[in-house]
Amino acid sequence: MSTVEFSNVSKAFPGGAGKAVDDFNLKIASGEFVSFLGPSGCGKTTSLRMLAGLERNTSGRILIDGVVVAEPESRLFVPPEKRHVGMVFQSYAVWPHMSVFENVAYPLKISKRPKAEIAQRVTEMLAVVELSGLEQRMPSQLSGGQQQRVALARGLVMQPKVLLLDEPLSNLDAKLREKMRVDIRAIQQKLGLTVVYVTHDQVEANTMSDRIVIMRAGHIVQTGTPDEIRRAPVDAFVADFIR
Amino acid sequence: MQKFLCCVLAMILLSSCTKKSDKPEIWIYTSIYKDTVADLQPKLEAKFPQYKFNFFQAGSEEISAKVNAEELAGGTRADILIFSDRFYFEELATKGRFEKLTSPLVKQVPESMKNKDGYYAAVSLPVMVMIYNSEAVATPPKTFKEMSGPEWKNKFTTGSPLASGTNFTTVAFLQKAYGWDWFKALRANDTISEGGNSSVVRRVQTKERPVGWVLLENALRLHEKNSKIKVVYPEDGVILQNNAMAIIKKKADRKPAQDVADWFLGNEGQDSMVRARLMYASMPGRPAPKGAPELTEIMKKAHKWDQSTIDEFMKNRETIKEEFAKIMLQ
Amino acid sequence: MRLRSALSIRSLLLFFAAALIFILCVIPFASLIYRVVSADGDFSIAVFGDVIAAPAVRLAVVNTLKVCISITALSLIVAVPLAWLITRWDLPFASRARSWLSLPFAIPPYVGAIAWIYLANPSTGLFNNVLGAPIFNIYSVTGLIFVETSFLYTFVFLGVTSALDRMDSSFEEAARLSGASPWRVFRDITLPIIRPSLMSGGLLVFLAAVASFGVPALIGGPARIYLLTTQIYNFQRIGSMSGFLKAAALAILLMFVALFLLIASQIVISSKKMQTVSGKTARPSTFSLEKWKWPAFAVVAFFWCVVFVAPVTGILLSSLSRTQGDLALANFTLANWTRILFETDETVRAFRNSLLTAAGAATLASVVAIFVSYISVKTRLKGRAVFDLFSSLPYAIPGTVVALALIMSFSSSFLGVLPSLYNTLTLILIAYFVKYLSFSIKTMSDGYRQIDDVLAEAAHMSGANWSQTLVTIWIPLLMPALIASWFLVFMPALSEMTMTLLLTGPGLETIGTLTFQLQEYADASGGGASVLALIVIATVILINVIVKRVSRGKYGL
Repeated sequence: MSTVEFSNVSKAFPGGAGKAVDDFNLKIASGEFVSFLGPSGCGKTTSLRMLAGLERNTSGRILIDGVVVAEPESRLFVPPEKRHVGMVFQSYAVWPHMSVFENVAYPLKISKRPKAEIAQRVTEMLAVVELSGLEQRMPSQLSGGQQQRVALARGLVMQPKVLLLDEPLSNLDAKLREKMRVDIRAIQQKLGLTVVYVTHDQVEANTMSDRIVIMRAGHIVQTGTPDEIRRAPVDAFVADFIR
Repeated sequence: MQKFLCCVLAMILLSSCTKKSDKPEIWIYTSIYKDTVADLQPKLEAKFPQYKFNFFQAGSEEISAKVNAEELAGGTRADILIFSDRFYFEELATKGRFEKLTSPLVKQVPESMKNKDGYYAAVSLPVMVMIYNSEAVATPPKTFKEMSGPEWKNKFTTGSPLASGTNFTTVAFLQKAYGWDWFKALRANDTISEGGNSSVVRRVQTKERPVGWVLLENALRLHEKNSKIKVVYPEDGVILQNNAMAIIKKKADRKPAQDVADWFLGNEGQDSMVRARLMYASMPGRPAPKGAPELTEIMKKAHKWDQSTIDEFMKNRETIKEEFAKIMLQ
Repeated sequence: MRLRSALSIRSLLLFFAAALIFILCVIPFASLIYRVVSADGDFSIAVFGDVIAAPAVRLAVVNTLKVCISITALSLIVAVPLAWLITRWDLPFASRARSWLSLPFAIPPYVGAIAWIYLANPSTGLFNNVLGAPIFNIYSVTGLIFVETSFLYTFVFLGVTSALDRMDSSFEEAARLSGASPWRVFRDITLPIIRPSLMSGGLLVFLAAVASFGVPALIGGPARIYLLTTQIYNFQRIGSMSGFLKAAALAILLMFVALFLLIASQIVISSKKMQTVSGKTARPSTFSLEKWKWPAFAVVAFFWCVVFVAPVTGILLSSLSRTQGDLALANFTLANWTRILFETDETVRAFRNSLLTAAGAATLASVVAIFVSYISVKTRLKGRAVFDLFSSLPYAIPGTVVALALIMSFSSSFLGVLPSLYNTLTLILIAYFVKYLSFSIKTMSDGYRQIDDVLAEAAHMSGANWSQTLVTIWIPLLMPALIASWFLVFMPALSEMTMTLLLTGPGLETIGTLTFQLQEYADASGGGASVLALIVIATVILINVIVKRVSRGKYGL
């Protein structure tokens, strides 16, 4: 489907000491499932948010599908609403004033699709995330896991170039988390999605990813398949973290 | 958290413990100006060291509202009232809320300036005159009456009888003299009638309306050298107001209050009242306000207070206000 | 053991707060009603009929509705986009702008009204003089609505900015990633989620407008626009007992209308249960103004100049003028300043008293609101809404009537138990507390409403008892709301005039009574009052700066 490229990307927050992300370089192939793994504060979420357009990188450039979406040097910045990426937030961000159907239909409504098409695609998508029949429920009537699926369906419904997931499973209980891991991976495979997945849980990263990017203090420490990293960690930090 | 709450509670309790003195208290509710109170309070305390004097000092309308509320709650705290809404005094006198004044000096107060049964008497006489801004008016008006003429369009302002007692008195006398048609002409001249006397001064000062009727004291109090505000004593008669004094009827001994009332009508009290020379004294033999003619002179033309006029105004109080509101305020 | 003690502290504090509201906000008004219906010795509600039948009252009702609805609508129209611009766009000096835009509330309304008359009266207004034509006429319905809105929009502004701050920003980010433009995000997501804050802000503005007196009297009067408060005032100023009873009766009717509105709004707000603050406070992504950055800033700055700089300049000029309305250089003087600061002995005492009572009332109201809002938002106690309601009632009626009700209840020993508070600063403090408590409760309830219960539950799970949770979880999270609530009470109380005039006594001068003295007697022109108003505004700014310094920029307006 789509490729992603980070090239010398850095981010400094105004007033913050040092850089939150420093010289981040990464190429993600179409259909690849890449996890950013690291302790909190390592810059993984910031990197993801820069890819989404929710943060602006202070230098370097970001490309989606070979097109530059952010390059401060040439004052180029594509706002998030024009990047065509889907995102699932840690807090789900399921809109409390809209029903399940309205939540999932929203991206399609924005792009002014005909009503019939919207209905059809929302139904399909809800089937994919196994929420069929709950269309008219309000978010307050849903469990955490169900809300999470609504968020996933909403992120997928507009067939994004890339799907971004920001610690989507951290608020779920262990059993549900295991099932969702399998489900998300299955959906990704089925739709051939390019996925960037942020987590601090090495099990999630190991079981789902094609490739893992391990980060610490704004830097990439190591990149590789779960196997490669397990077999040859570059240093004690990685070894300790992946264990 | 609890500590904090305790602090707040303690603060409230502490601040509510006011210093209590053993002396009997005398409460005086008055609209006389702070300067005057500051001047006469030490004299009162020197003369009557056995009492503690408390003043509630506010506008006449605030005082009557406060007294009304206290009366509804079982009786006002005031012992002596001194303020300029004569009709309010008349009302409380009729309701039997006043003690008769026993001071022999009451006799010397002009007949028209006291209650016929001796329930209240004026201690001083504020006077309603006209003022104009000399920068904006070349030929000043001479009478109230001429203000209805077309040459004063957009030039005249008055207080509102709905907002202030002295303005009510003025409206009452003028409608008696000139009828409501005169007010209709004022309305046609776009006269602004709003607020009390201070609002009138403000509008004249800013030339928003360069002529207005106002209490003489408000004009004289302006902190200005070479004031641009000049006073006119209308030839068709100034309107004298009554700063009335009365003693509230209470179970407690009224002798102290009577003594104090007597003091107010006596030399010391009267000197204090007119010290700043902003109004006339009610007792003869005091100087007139700064630059004003003698009281006897003024009285010749001034609108007359007599019992039938008071009764008429009392009876028509609401109608006068309503009629005024209908003509001037809508 | 621990559970039991925690439970008892909780119920004790909640009970204390509730009792305070009952004693101070209910009893005085209940007794006012009682006294009015039994004034003639026996029970009679005829006075209510008389009041309703008066044509002037009916006209006043129509005018009040027209004016107050316009003020509310205009406040929302102005304040919501401003709040959105400041919290969600990369506006230059956004955090400064936030403080600046809260400042108009610190201008004492009657002084602000005089300033506007000075600037824009049709015959000699400064603007009209400068322009050489009578373009602005402050004495009009438009003028009245404009001046009121220029103070009152701050309620909505403060409420909505803090709601936007506390709102989980991922709601909006999710919409952006769904392809929604900034406007669509605002319309589809932001607005519906902050609706409770909008409604309570709007309601506050409406009630404030209905209860306001200074501006309608000074500006509505010459324009011949009479509102209910002016009508109540006119009744009261008749002086007679019957006028007094009519004033009280009309105020009571107003109270019932407010009660109805409050109940209706509670039903609407509580029907939408929303908690929108997550534990994680992500830095919200801002929209980029790009080339509109400075034009947008210019618009905000211009607005601020209109609502704050212009009237303050008017006040400043007036404080420096020997004769009001004269702009000649020779007319400028420091005499007003030296007179107030050095030659008036009451100035220091008045400031001390005002600071003491305003700060006391603000603190007490905020503390009580912590508990009362907790009861009404975070518990399922039966009748919890009642406190919120009762505390809002005094706010909806004019200050004179609040003061008169307090006089009736406190002129003799209160309830026959407590020491008499009559003629003490405490009673003045209580008056401010009673009148402005609803600012605190509204602000705090909004605060609670947006904090997810799980945060407190998490604290309970970690073994914290109720009071520990309150101190360690709720209060820190509510801090911005607490600060806002404190200022919302402090600012108007600092220069309050109408209630204080009736409650003052020997040695109890406040800034409000001093202003009145100066205006009514010493210098009707307003020079002295302007000096006081400027000091009041400076005081508020100073306290805000101190709060910001001490909290390192975290809290404050």
